[in-house]
Amino acid sequence: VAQQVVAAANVLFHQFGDEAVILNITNETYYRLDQVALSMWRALTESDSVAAAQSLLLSQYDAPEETLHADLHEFITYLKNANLIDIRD
Amino acid sequence: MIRDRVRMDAYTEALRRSVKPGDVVIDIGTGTGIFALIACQLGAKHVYAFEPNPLIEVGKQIAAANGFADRITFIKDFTTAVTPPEQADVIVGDIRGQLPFLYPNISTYHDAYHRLLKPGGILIPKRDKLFAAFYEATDEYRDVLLTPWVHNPYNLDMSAALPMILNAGWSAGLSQEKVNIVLPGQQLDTLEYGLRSDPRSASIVEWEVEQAGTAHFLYIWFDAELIEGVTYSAAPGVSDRPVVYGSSQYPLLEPLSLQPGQIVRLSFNADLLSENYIYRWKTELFANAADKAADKALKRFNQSTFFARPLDGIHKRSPSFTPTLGKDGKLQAFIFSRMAEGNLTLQQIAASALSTFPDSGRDQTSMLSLVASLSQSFSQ
Repeated sequence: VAQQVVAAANVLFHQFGDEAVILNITNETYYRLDQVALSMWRALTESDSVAAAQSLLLSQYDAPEETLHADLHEFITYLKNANLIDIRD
Repeated sequence: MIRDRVRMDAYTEALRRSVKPGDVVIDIGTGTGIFALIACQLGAKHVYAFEPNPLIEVGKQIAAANGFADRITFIKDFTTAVTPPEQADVIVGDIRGQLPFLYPNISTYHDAYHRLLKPGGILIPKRDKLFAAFYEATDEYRDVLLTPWVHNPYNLDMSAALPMILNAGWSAGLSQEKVNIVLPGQQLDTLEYGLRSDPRSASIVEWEVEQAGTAHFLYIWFDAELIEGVTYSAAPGVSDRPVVYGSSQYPLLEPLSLQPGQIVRLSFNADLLSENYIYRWKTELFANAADKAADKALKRFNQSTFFARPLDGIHKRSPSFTPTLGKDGKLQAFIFSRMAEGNLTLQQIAASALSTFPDSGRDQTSMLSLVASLSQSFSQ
């Protein structure tokens, strides 16, 4: 939870109106973000740690901490497997 | 392009030094055929002139008017799609955009060099060198670039457009004579045509600030070496600069105040996405070398022309996306299926499309116009 999530070097995040995408330039794959995924992405990439991101999301969503924790870590795993993020200690 | 004497004179000189009587020449992207014609003047036995644009028909007329019709074969296609009957002694082309990054520039030369050029033959251009500098332009940045969006004269809040404005190329409001370079040109990359197959470019360069100033714009340009000893430069402030390429300038997210001893690091990437280039430029300002080593930047701007684009369903381009046809897609698929029958006129196809898609929002005239447009592009 002390680790920090940053967008990978070959990744661009772009929000335009109601639409938000992550682009992996290496394989030209676009990932469309829904509202919850967008909140998670912003919280993760704009916070100093995963714990801080989780706290921020808890303040935004009326969800049990365990549920949010599980969802956030599932999201991080997906992003990591898709080479969209780097995780720094 | 033919009006640009700097470019034309350099290309003509490169051809004059390269084409020998009896040579076979390939002209890539011939347009109205100027390089093919000059090659004929220099004694080329035959020229294969490639141009996918319908403009090629004018080239044929010009070749005939100059008595070269029998020595130039015009081919309305890309060189990558056609193999001419013989390899060339000289291949010439200028298929750049504002920068060398215009798809499929790099891959076209790579293919031509290996497949269409005789061993020991000459490829024109030989190489382009890419450069970057930062310049100061307070008035242009504040009064021209920002004013409509930040200081709106009609008291409207137009700032939502600002991210697009600050991530797009900028070409207005700067005269070449007034370029005030605050961080001088540094080479980013060298594109060795024919040898290079990777269409992307990635470079990192650094400046140590020598004089106080403010950087507002990044300026990217190239120097062309057509053959050994024949060059031209699109650098800012060069008096005999070719004008046809315009200039590639990119604003910084905010003016960057520079003090002597500080370090500026630029990461510049040209990435190819679905046959279109996007540019990324990351500009970082460090107080000193120790801060740079510790990655403690005073300012860090991540910009890209990708951010200047409306998304407009761009995720549908992703390889993993499973598409289904929308309303217009279904209509066009129907029209194509009727065309494929091979025995219906445009009018008959339009009439059947109208009766099958009564809610298309089209009347007889606009449906016929759509069918005609698809016919022009896709029928034979």
